[in-house]
Parts: sequence; C-alpha cells; structure tokens
Amino acid sequence: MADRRVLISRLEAIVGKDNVLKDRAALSVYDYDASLFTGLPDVVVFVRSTEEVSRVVKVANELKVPYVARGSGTNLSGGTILRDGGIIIDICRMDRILKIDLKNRTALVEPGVYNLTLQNALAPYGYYYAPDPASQKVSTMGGNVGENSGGPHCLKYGVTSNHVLGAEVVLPNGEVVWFGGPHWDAPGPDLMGLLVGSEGTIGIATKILVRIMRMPERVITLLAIFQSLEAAGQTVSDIIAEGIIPATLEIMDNLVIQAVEDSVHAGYPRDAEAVLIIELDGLADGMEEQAEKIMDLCQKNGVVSVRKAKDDAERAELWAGRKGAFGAVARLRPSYLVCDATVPRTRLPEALAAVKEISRKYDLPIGNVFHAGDGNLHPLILFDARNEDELKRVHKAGAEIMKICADLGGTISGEHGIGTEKMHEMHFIFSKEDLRTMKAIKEALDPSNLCNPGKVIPDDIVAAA
Amino acid sequence: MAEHNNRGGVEALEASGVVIGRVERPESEHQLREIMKRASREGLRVMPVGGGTSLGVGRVPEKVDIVVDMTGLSQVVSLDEKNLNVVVQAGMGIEALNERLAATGRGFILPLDPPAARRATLGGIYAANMSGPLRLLYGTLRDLALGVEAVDAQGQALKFGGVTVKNVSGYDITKFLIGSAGSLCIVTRIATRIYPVAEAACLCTADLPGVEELEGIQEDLLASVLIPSALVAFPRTDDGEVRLLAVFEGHPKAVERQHRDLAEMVRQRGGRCEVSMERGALKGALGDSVDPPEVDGTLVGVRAAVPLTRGPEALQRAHEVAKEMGLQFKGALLCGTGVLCLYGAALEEGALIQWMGRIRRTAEELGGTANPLFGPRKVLELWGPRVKEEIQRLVLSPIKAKLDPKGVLPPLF
Repeated sequence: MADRRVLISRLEAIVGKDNVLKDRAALSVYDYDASLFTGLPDVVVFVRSTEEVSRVVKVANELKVPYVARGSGTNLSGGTILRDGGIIIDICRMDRILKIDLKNRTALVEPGVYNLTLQNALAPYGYYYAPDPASQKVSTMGGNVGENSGGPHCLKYGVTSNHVLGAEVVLPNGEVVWFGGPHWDAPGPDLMGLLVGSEGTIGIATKILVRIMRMPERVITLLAIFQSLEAAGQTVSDIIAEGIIPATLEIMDNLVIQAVEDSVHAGYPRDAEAVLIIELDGLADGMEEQAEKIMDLCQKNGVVSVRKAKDDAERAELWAGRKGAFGAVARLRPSYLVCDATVPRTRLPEALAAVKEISRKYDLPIGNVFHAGDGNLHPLILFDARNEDELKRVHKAGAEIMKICADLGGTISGEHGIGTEKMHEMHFIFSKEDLRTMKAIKEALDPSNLCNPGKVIPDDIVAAA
Repeated sequence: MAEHNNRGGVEALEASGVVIGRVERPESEHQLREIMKRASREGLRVMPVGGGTSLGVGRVPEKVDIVVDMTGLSQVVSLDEKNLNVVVQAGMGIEALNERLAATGRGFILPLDPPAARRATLGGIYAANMSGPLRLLYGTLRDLALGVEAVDAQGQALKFGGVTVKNVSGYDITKFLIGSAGSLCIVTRIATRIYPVAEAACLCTADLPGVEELEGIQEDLLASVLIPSALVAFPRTDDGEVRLLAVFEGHPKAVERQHRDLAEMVRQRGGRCEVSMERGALKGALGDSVDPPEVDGTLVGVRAAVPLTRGPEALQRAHEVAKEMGLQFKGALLCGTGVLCLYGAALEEGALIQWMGRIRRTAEELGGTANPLFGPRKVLELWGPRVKEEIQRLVLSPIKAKLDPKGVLPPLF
C-alpha cells in the first residue's frame, strides 16, 4: 500500500484535516460493526458531498488503497469492516433530506439520513417509506441500499429494492453517474436492482430517490399467544391460505420473550412458548371482518389469547418488544450471532426443528425471532466471545443452519447480507459458474478490486483465474 | 388453454426487416445450452425471441445467424400455492399461465398485464421489462420475480435468486437482467410471486371532460387512502375527452366504498362514472386499453416514462402531435406511474420517424424518457442508443465485454 502519510495528506486536502481520523484510538471505533468481525482501517474520512466522495475514491484508485463506505455500522455480516486496512468513507454527515415530492410520491435523500428520520419527516404529511428494518432508528439510507434492507413489513410491501427509483452513484473509478431514473422504467438492464444489495462493492450511492406511500387509513395490530411454535406457524400458514396477506407476521419464542420482558417490558406473557404479531393495514372497510377471521384461525390452532392494540400507543408497545428483541438478548449472554437464512414459509417448522437440534448439538442457547410471513429466520445464537471454544462452535452452528435452510429450498441471507460472514456459504446456493458471473460483473466495474474488496464473492472464486 | 402463436415472435422479427439465418426452437434447456455452445465456438450471432411484442426495446441487429424461438420452453415447472410462488419456463405465455393459475385451488394470479398479453411470454416480458395497468398495485417483474435460470453466451447454465421474497444472497442478478433484452444471457426459467385472486373486484369507467380533470382526479386519488389496483387513462375523442378505467380489489365492503368515492370525485369534476363487477369485463377492458391497435399501414410502439404528475400532459401532447401529423394514434397512460404506451401508424415510415422523434422530445421536456417498443428495424435503428452514453461506456459495455466477449448475443443499447 501507498505511504500512509501521503495517503493522509491527500485525503486532508480533499475534506480538511478536521475530517480525517488517523490516530489509532480514534480508528479503533471503526474496527468493528454489528457483526463478529473486526478490521482496523488505516484512516477514516468524513465526507459531505458527492464531489468529496468522488475525489476520495479517485485518490484511492491512484494510490491503490482499498476503501469502504460506511453509515452507522449496523451491518451484521462484516460488510463495513475492511479486511486488510484502507479507507473508511464515513457518509453520516451527508444527512440531508433534499426533497420531499408528495405529488410525485418520491423523496430524495443523502445516504447518511437515518431511515427513521425519513419516516418522521414524512409522517406529518400522512406519508411513509415502507422498508422499516428493526435498526431503523440508527441505520442509514445508504446502508439500507447497500444491504437491500427489509424489516417486518416486507411480506406485503417488499424490500428496499422495491422502493428505490434511482440513485446518484460514485463508481469504483470515481466517476459519477445516475442509475435508474427520476421515474420508473429506466431503459436498459435494471442497474438499481444490481446496486441495491451489492454491499458497497460496485459503487457508492450519494443521493437516493425513493418511493413514498400514503399511510394506510387503518391499522389493526394483534398479539397472539401460543403454547407452541408449531401452532403459531400453522396459524401463519392458515392465514395465507385464507387469501389474506397481512402487512406483517412476526414470531418470537420463549427465550426471546423472556429477554424482551426483562428489558423492554412489552407486556408479553413470560410463560408463552411463542408470540405472533399480526398486522393488517389498508382501508378500514372490511378490516374488522378480516381481523375476526384471523382470530378464528388463531382459535382453531389453540391460541391462549389474542390481544388487539386499541390505539397507537399500545401498537407501539407491542412493536417495541419485537424491535428491541436483538438488544434484549444481550442480558442473557454478552454476544450473539444472528443467522439470517430464509426458507419457503411452509418449511419453517422443519427449519425450526433443525435449529433446536443444532442448539443441542453445539450446546449453545438459541433464541428465535422470525419474519414468519416470508420465511426469514433469525436464530440468535448466544455465547461469550471471550470463550474461544464457544466462538468456534458458534460459527459451525451458523454454517449448519445456513446449509439446512439452503437444502430446504431457501437461501442463506434474507436481509443482512453476505459480507465476510457468509462468503464461504455462498457455495451452498450457487454453482461456480453463478459465482464467476458475479465476479465478472464485479471485475467489470471495479477492475482494481478496491471498492470494499473481499466481500460477497468467496475468496476461492476471486482468486481463480 | 389460451392458444399461443408459436410463430408470432419469429414472424414479428422477420416483419421488422431482420435477416435471419435459421430458426431453432429448443424444447429443453439442454438443447438451448448446446445451441449456445455451438454458437460460441463458431462465432455466430444469436437472438432469443418469445412473442415478439416488444422487440424494439433492445437493439435489433441487421442480421442474425440463429433466432432461438423460446416458445418451445413453455412449461410450468412448479406451482406452490401455499408459498405463493410459481416457476415457469421463459417461453410460457402470460395468459396461458394465468388461466392455469385461475383454475388452481382458490384461484391465483400473476398480476402482469402488458400490452399484447395474448402473445407475450414471461421471458419476453422479463427481457423488455414490460408491464401494464396492474403494476400500480402489484409492481412489475422487478417486484414480482424471485429468481431466474439462464444460459450464458458460452452455453453455461446459471441460476440466481430462488423462491423466497427475502433474498440478499449475492448480487441481485434476477433484477439486473430485467430489461436487458437478451443482450447478456438468455433467461430460461423465472420464479415469481403469485397472489390469491381477490375476494371482490370492480371496474369503474369514468368519462372526463379533459386532461385537466384527469390531472385532478389522479392527484386526488393518489393523495387519498384509496388503493386502486389499476388506473389507466386514454383519449376518448379527438375533442379532448378522456376515459379513465379504475380497478379496485379486496374485501367487498372496501371495493364498494372505493368505487363510491371515485364516482363522487368524478362527479365533482364534471364527469360520469359507471361500475361493473364482472371480472371478464375488467380484464378485457384493461387489455384493450393498452394493446396495440389493428391498423392499416406501419405501426410503431413507444414506451414513455415521465414523473407521474406529468403523465396526463404527456398523453395529451402525444395525441396532439399525432393529430397534427395525421397519424393514427392510440395511447394509454398508466396513471400513478407516469408510464405511457403510445402507438402511431402511418403509410409512410418517414412520418413515423418524425412522430417518434417528437414523442422523445416531449418526454424529455417533461423530465422523462421515451424508447421504442416495436417497429420496422430501419425505423428503430434511427432511434439510436437507448441508454445514456456514460452508462453505456462506464457500466454496460464493461459488463457485456465480460459476459459476452465474442458478441454472440444481441448488442447493447
């Protein structure tokens, strides 16, 4: 790599000395994200404009230094960690909502805007932005684009990719282009589809044009308590079979319920084996009948009780438990590995049974939170990272869960991305030819392999001729 | 079972003026792979074709050594009612698929209703990123497709995505290939979401005095809590009257409330509104609104996309230009999306070329883009590149060079 002093001097000339972190103590704040991986950068730059991003990337190219764009670092797969040093381009100061266009149903934001900030800006107008990852209080729109973030409402509304029309992008060579359009149906291949979820490996979004939607007239939120995960899962299947597509269907098991109650006090019964959150939204007309039908289906599956939120405050309370679930389990063990595999919904019972067996096999407690409607599991494998043996068992357990889900017709990542964590497991679901095609696209756009290198595509594929 | 004209796509290609070496119609993915391997070895030019309804989306070459008629690959591979997905071969017609889905269990639908749906195949819809009125609620294939299988320019089998809605494993090639018009690889199978047929549905037919009223209704509807499945508008007369078709689906009470509310909006703007609950009428009306017309002379199709508030103005201007130039015209605005399907017919190609140029300028003035859907090859070739020069140079050409170094597949845009 280039002389570090030269690199720092060049970067300071772009963003100013105050916007460059170079001391080890400061850099150590950036050597981790929300995954289990670490990697110390050589320098961190805070950028405020597309022009600064472009110039930093050009310097990186000139000096052959790897780089990664980073928002809040809530990445769960090591995507925002540099494996072999380099530049972290911190985009958090690009945090303006540039335009809200209600009539055209779009909003233009900079990548450092928090997801929830956008929601709060839209709410007074009666609009919202549909993707609502659990991390929305702190995750950035740029990060959401990088990971194709989902959230509990994906079943009905899709993921980030379904709500982004276009983006200004700094390509790996530093040039600035616009992907997609100010309108739908930009000609040619779907470049936004390629960018969203590419984990910062083929470009950096510096402006993002999103679709916004009118808030629904009515929302009904139900909390159903079951004495088994199987009964909760069967209820989900029955609801879909009835032709009802709720906005959300979320399940948590007893281990997570206990942690949530200790931490968030959401009012979940501690002795429940499973809680199922069901949310309907849309027009008020006919919604009560749909809710009644759902409650009948819960009864059919032996529900202990069903609680309907009577107002927004109670709705927020029911959701606080779900949204605080990951943080809550920190009370049980100091670390967790959250798996993110997805299976076809009807295969959930098999997947959960397998997770239970893996918990027993590796002697690790595993709590379950999952987006039951779309089959996206989040087994939370709890452990103490200071215990090396536990750490090894955790990775093995995680890999085994991914393999089982792949074999059940699913995939290894539903919303958290591949990053570093799941690269090897990409072989579970893709052939070498599939992976070489991805590599070819990466090489076409980033021939120097400096744009967040060592992510997504397995090392053996990258290394092969 | 809906008849699918297996020669439709090839005939359309011939009619557009392309010189074809030979046509091959594989009936298995293995056969297609062998065709591509041979083509790659021998340096031949290959072009896949389905129903031939939107050949102008990509760059149609002057000469093709092998046209691959994809309609031989037209099976449903798997239909999973409980998990709400279907996997079909790319040559399957969308209408045939939906007939099959409607007859399955409680009744399902893949809500894709592009122009010329009677001839359109899933692969063609995917390659051209085609859509119709139902996209307002359900989105397009970029929202509905879950995974693809494909054959690359070297004849290798590829698979991306899967059958789950949530999937961020690797690059989203499933989405990336949408709209690539067969220039990067040939898609052989597509997995998509399906939806249960709604409990109730209605079609509202509203006649409005003019485009100003259409703008107002569109704004009112989109600002309201109503949830139309489809909204399509088209000129009803040469005097400026506009017809708006609106579809509402869901619980019977919700459907009834919505058509009542729309009728009131229409009434307040000086229009009149009728409602039909008959599903056949609904489907027929939507299809008729966007299908290319039967005409004397040469027909061209153009897809324009503008910011949604400019849609009514774009429709009006496209109609006026055609009237001024004496062309036969049919146009439809997919309200709420800003997407327009525009058709012009004339006896003289020169007039069509001029009309298309003016449509393009109009779309650009309104902050959007326009690109051809179909037409004579010579006319399409004069259109020039479909994408911006910097995108071609910095992004698409490098990718094409990697995926299809010998240029076996159709050229880029």
